[in-house]
Amino acid sequence: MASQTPFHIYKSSAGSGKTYTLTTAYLKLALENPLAFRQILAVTFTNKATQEMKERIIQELKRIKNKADETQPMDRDLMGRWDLKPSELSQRAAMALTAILHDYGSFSVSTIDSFFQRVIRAFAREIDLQAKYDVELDQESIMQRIVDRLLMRVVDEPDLQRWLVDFSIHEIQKGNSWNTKKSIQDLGRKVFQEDFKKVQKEIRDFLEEPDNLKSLISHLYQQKQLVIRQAEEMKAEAHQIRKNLELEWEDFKGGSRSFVKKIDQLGNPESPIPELTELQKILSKNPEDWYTKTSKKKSAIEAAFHEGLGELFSRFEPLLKTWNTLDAMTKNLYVFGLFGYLLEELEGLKEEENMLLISEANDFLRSITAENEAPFIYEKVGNRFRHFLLDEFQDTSGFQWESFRPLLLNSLSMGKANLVVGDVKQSIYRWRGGEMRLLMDQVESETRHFGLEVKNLDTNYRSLPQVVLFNNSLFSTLSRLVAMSLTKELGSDEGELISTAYAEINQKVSLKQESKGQPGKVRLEFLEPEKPQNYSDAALEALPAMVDELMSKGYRQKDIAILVRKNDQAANIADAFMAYEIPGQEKRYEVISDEALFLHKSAVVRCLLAALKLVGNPDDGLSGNNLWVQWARAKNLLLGQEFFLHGTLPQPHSGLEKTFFERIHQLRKLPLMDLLEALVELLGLNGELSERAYLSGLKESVYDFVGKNRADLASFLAWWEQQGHKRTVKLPDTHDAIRILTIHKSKGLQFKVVLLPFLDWKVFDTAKDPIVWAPYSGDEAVPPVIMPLTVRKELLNSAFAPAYREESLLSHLDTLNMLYVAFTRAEEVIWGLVPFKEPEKRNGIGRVDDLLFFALSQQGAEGELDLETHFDSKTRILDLGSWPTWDSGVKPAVDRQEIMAWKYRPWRDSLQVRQVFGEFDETGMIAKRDFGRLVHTLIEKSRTREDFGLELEALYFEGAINKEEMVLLEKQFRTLCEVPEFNSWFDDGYRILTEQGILMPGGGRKRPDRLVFKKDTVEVVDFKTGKESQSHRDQVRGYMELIRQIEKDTAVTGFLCYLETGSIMRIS
Amino acid sequence: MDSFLKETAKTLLQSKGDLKGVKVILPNRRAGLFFIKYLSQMADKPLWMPEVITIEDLFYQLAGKKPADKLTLIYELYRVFQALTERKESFDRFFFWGEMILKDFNDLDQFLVNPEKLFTNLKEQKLLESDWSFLSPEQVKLIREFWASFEGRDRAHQEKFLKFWDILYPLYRGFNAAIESLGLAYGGRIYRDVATGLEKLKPMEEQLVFVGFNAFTTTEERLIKHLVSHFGAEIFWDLDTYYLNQPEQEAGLFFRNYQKDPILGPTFPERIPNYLQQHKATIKTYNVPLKINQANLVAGLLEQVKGRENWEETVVILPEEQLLFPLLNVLPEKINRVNVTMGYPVRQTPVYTFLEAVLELQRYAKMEDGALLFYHKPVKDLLSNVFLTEMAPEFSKQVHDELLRTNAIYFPARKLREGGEVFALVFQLFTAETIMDHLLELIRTLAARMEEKSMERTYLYQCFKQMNRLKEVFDKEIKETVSVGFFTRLFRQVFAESRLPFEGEPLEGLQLMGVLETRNLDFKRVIICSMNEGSFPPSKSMDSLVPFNLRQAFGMPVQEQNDAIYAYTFYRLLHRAEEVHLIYSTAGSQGQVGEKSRYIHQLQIEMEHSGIQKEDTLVHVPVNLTQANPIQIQKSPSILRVLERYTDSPGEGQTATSFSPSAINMYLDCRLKFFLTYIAAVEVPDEVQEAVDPAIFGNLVHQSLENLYAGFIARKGRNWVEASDIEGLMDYISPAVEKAIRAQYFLDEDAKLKLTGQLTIARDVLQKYLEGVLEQDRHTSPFEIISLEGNKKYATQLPVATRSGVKRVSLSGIIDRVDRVGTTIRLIDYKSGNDKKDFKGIPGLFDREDKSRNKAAMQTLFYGLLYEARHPENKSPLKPALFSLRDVFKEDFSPYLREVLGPGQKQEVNDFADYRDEFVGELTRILEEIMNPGEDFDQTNDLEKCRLCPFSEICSR
Ligand code: SF4
Repeated sequence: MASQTPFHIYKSSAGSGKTYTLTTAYLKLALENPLAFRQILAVTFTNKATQEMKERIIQELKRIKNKADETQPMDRDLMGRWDLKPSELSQRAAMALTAILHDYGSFSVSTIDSFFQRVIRAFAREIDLQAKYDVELDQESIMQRIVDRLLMRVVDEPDLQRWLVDFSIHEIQKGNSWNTKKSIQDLGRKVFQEDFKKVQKEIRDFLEEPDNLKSLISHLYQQKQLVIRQAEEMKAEAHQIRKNLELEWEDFKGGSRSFVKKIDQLGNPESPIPELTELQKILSKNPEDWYTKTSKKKSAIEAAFHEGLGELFSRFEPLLKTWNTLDAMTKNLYVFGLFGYLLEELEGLKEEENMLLISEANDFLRSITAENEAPFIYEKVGNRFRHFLLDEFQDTSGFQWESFRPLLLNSLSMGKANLVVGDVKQSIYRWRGGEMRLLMDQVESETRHFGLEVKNLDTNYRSLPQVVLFNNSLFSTLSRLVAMSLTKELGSDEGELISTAYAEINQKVSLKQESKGQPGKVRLEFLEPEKPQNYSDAALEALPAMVDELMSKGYRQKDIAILVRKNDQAANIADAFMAYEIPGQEKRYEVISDEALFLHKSAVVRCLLAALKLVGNPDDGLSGNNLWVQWARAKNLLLGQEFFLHGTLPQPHSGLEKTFFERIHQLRKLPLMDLLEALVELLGLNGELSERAYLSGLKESVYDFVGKNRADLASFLAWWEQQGHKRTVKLPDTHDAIRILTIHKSKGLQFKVVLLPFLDWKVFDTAKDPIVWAPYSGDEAVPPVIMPLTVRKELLNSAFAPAYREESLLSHLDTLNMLYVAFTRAEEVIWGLVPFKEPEKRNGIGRVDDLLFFALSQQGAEGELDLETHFDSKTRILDLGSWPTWDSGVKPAVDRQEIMAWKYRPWRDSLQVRQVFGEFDETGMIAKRDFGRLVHTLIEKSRTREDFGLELEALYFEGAINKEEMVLLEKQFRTLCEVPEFNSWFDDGYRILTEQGILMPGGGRKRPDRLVFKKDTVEVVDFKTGKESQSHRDQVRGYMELIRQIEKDTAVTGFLCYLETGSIMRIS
Repeated sequence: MDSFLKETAKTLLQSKGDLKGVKVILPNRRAGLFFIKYLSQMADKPLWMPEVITIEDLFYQLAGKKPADKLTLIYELYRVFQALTERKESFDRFFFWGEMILKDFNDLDQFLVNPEKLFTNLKEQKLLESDWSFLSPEQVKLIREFWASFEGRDRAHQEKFLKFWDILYPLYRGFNAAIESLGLAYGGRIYRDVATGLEKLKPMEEQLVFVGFNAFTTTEERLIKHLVSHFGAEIFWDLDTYYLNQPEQEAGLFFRNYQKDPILGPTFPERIPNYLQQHKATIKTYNVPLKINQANLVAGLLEQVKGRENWEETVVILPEEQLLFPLLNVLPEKINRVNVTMGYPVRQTPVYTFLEAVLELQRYAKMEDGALLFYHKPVKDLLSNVFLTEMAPEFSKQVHDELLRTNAIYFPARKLREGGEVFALVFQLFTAETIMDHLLELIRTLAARMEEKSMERTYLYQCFKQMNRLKEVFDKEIKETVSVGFFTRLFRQVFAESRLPFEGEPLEGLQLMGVLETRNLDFKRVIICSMNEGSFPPSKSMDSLVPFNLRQAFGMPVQEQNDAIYAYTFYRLLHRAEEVHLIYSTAGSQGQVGEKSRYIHQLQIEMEHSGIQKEDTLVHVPVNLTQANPIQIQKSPSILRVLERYTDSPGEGQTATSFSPSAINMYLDCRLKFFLTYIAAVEVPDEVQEAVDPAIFGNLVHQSLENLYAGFIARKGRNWVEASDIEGLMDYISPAVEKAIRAQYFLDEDAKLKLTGQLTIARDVLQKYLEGVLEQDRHTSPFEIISLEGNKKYATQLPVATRSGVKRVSLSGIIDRVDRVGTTIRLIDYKSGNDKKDFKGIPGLFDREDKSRNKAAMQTLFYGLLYEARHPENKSPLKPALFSLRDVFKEDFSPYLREVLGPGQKQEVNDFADYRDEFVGELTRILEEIMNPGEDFDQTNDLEKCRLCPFSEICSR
């Protein structure tokens, strides 16, 4: 399908039918011919989105297959494309659907990561990976291990040791712990990130040369000393001038609070140059402002100004800038110096454990797509893509784009259609490398020459009218506010990026939403906590009542989502709801949350973990206590002092604690999975219905663990310490419960009601110590270097101001985007809580609540909703629209039938592992008595002498016997063959049946070892080991009798052959 | 309805009457068992049983050869490879590549691909020459496409690829020649030899019957056609018109081809069954949240089965075999027999994990001054392993304790080996040369101690066998020394896969199987778990060095064939079933989401009969959480009795004790924590700390300073310190610190002090701290040392009102250092933390609600009380002082407490006496509270305090 403009970029604001657009685009390509789908790669942001996209495509195809509907815009669109009748479209859909369902592996909707990994696997040999490698996702624990390894090296490497000790002292002086491990880990983690990787080569090169770092350090410290000394000199100089003119600082305007007193602060080793406020900077330049009109010392002061004091103040600014620059560079110097080591250890670990870090995928892929032409890549991957549909493009990282670009350009150059969908306003994954500038302009400029169509999807299909209008005006106001403030703070035009990003903020209300006749509701409450409560306590307390109210309006729990910024907030909310008793009801609210429902919250889980620990170490008294305390909690009992003092459980349970100890010995021998089950049973936790989801979660953890790791108790417990606490209960989305999720995770989702309880975060949060990598080449003395800088306000007045500006700008955009995502999730109701502050205490837009406050106190622009008029400053509530009225035809949730069974039954009761014959003796040789049995088996299986050799070899390859044993067995067989009778049984001149059963009427079977059909007779042979016995003879006679019945006209002879002795006995 | 095998058996019996000389070939052995069972059920007189074999057996029989084991083959491959390339790779690194190459060779032989053509480098050639005419135009196109992708600039990756590619044909030839000279073969080779030597085949006496095949390799197809056309072999197909006649149904892919074949076509039955559409099974689909819950659901479904059941007519299919045990552990009581085909996965047994741990230990071995040391973590893991604890319980515990006590990061092997034979075997150094002998010996020794017939012993035997073989291969064939690491990987691969068969009559009871084992079997009730993409069908793993297009062009199997085989396996199960349950889970592995299997989509969308549930049943797991009740301990008589120990009348049979400042501080922090620590005396277990934890660091600080000054006093015979003494003292810092470390970790005086990682750093930091302290002391000198912590425990008593009248409650404490500067007596505490010196008045020191309560101030003021009690005669001012780690490095250091009087107003504490009365008043109040029966021990509200509390589990905090 070639078209004039093969490349489409859709800018899709929230709720603008992005999935619909993508699906339609997909179908337009896929319905071209039944196999067209194989050449389309649709890339989604998450695994979950992948599945939803797949489901959606299948759903639509199924629908169209059944009936193409001219009233549906999608169908109209598709029919128009090829000028089809509805029935023809249905037919196409049917064919495409069939093709997809039966070549499902080629139905390529995937995350960018999984696509990349396929490519990497195909190139493993070329990029020097090992044939088998594991993809490691948990980089956190990798970093921990790397730091551990690093610390182990200290003993043998004095340089490293000295470095780390200096680092410790440095930390102590800053008031931190001497234990620097955490600091190293925190900054070390950056090695996995893209912004580090971008500069990693330079950094490696710099650190490779050990003198570089040394000279950098001494240079920095020298320079700092220099600044301090200069400051001290300035101070002395100033005092000299003052003294010469017989002045005191108090004589100056402002008296004891005069800015000239700042001179006294000069030379302070921690900050030698005091900072002047904006006003002070101006004052310092005008001698008229140095004295009061009435001052008697007016002329002396003026003289002081001219004799150097005025000039001295002008030196503040440049010197401070130098200081700030030096100081910023020293801050992370120690960890920076360790980066070389960290990378080295990382390489070592990867090689030893044969793993590929997930964060490396992009690097490798970049090299692959740079090295190779697209066709060769496709050849190796085994899949040729002609069309790419990229979703959530605003969160694509620079590396990802670089990797992808060659493939996309290849497609475009062939005139194939491609599509990118995204929304700069919803770019909130910068911390993971998301690069919104790609969508904003870069992609356009890089592909424009192929022909390009940019389209803005401007209708909101998601939300009711008032919600749409509210967001339109809120975000147009907010973006203006932020842009203004940035321009003010950072200088000219800095706010422009924000304005561009939010240029097309106004969305149209969709007809469908309009026609519902419901306005929707927006409510923002400014909340003032009563002392000593803080804001989050107050918000937590308010939440359940808000849900009560929503219930009374006819909403169900699953209609409600509570969005937060941080995981711990989610956990707190979950706790609050689980503890809340709904007035007048037995039940409590239920919540679903990937962030909050930690397994370890459950009594059953805690109890079992303590039990596992105790099994691992029966002396662990603390776990003993934990076990029973949690056990009691699960059973709704309370343990009192008898337990804590004497360790006894209350009646009727007492004795259980002893039983437990008695069983430990036995329990320790069980495999992990079985051990867990046995503990559940022993502690009687299977009967409790309530915490089953948690219990299942724990079992699933063990299940996953033993699937991948060494399945013993110690390893599991260690893993749990590290990782287990992050495990949460997983519930299906259909569960009727309140959703609690982070704004990040809410991207792409929508809910009837959205509650935003914590609208209080910092707009630009430097407390999190964001790190930026900035080049420094200001000095001749040191080679140019790229350093990790902690973003602080001071950077603005340093050589690193551009880095600061960029970070500040993007952080502001992040916050604004985060708000945008949060506010645009709602279909019907937005209800937010904002901390209240006296208006006069709000200066600047430090926090989100400042932003909202100012936005609500502004008059709306032309054509926008006037938020101010809806904000009641007395009640401090903004209230817009009205509660949607419900027809009460909502079906109550049907009680699901319980179809699961939980009762434990040890599998060993019903099943046993079969004994394999064979034992080994001291020498490692097959034991004597088994040797005979071995010969027996071999003979049993071999029809001819040749066969025997073959079987013997097979046994050897299996490892059942070694070379010597093989020779021995061979010899034994040859000896036996020396007896002609015996030899004839292995002569392939005869028809020989081995292991040939005789079917008995009614289902039985008999199995003589060997039947040899000689001329007129059948010889039936049974081989034996051990002593001769009558029963052997009877057995052979039995066989003979049977054979006579089958082979009526043939004579039957029977033989018994004792293998150890070689004696052969004819049975008549 | 009869099952396919039964039907086949019936037909066979009817048509032949006698089965002598009949050879039945089935896809796998299990089908054979069922086949025989059906035959014997039909026999009315004794009959010869036909020979039942697999097609593999048939090939090996015809060739008179069996394949050699993989390790040997890969090694041979490696040798040839080494000779062909300049880039030397170690055997370790080559191994897994070799595995892949071997697999490709197998494939190309089985599919009769001409290796020379396949591995040609056509980069430069634009046209295929005439001797490529055996290829169809489509094939040629594919090959062209592949080589066309090499156009353009030379690229490093392509060069690498070609370099490797160019080796493959010589490698193939060299490898084949090499193994032939050794008399060995690999599977593909045997197949090729048979299929290309059919004319040499002797006429067969037996009547061959092929039953239930779906997909043949090229070699198989050739052989079978030959047998059909030359020796009248018969074929019974197990298929259905549903997928046969619909070209899009991948399940019918092979059948459609065979049906058109002039030789195979006629073997198809005249009437092909149409079970899938005529005989309508009920098909239900379920979605469960967790993988593990599938087991519960299966158990629930089985539970629901009413009435008496022939359980052998029910099969539960587990595409993820790991689900076996979770399922077995919840089977309903009424199921008394189960038959499991997949065997017991050895890697989950403790004995396997033990062996793996033993190997793992080696990664962390280290030689130091000729002594072998092991890293503490694996040692600890091993010591708690049941196989060692059982052997020597006392010894294990003792060593374990020693490990903790000495905080040994590395522990000497010598000590560990004292535990007995097994210990000696485990804790030795394995080298590449000795590793296998060591392991064999270990296995033998372990086995000797196990119950005969136990599963562990059976497993060990198997292990022994395999290890033996490995050793053989390495000893006799592979001269390469491999690293212990590689061996461990190999061990994992070889042994982790091994299974122990289960006991049981295969044909009775509930049937539990993996997917491929269901071939040819029919069941009335079919339950399939893990109906997830990636499990059923399993995820793509077409690991091959031959690029996709070339595979396809040369007729080697690609994904399409794989898909077809699995689809057939799935649909075949539905042929004759009456009731089908398909279960998938929404949880995937590694945080991924589970995706529902394509087969469910296919059924729900395409199969038009009403028995299929169109919407999946969502299975719900209850999710309530039991609230943690607050813990509140009332002061029962027994607790009050314990409390009496703190008074001057400790109660009969009880030893007296006293409150330290830390006890008071703990009481103020959290009353429950106080209770658990001091009254219930719950012990908190030790851990080997690689990082020196703050408490230990604190100890070291105290101890080193004590050592430093105590040494000084002993040396100089005076306790008067002059400024001039300080310089000399500096030299004693290092020994003082070292001594403290030894004491802390119970290390012998003479043992060489080997510190690791963090402790090294801690030591150096400590030394700097001591230097800092001395520097400060230089400023304050001269001063007189009155006491150091070690030599004096200070104690006093306070009268406190209790329910049985006023009692004297004991208090005590250890003061780090008491000295005199001028006339002032200083009560000094060394602090390793960041303690502040400001406090907001005495009541604030006892205010438990105050989050920034200054504990250190409380403690040093407490010392004032203690000092006074011991020296009632003292008239000098008592001045508390804190030497905290951070501050000694500051220029404006001052160790003295300051009371905050108001904003910006602070007053230095110069004499305890100024605060005494108020302090005693507050302290008495707290002590009264502790002794008061009406005041419970309850939990703090400040969760911050719980964060580092060892009892946070007890409190569910
Ligand atoms: S966890 Fe918290 S409440 Fe419990 S004892 Fe510790 S400090 Fe007290």
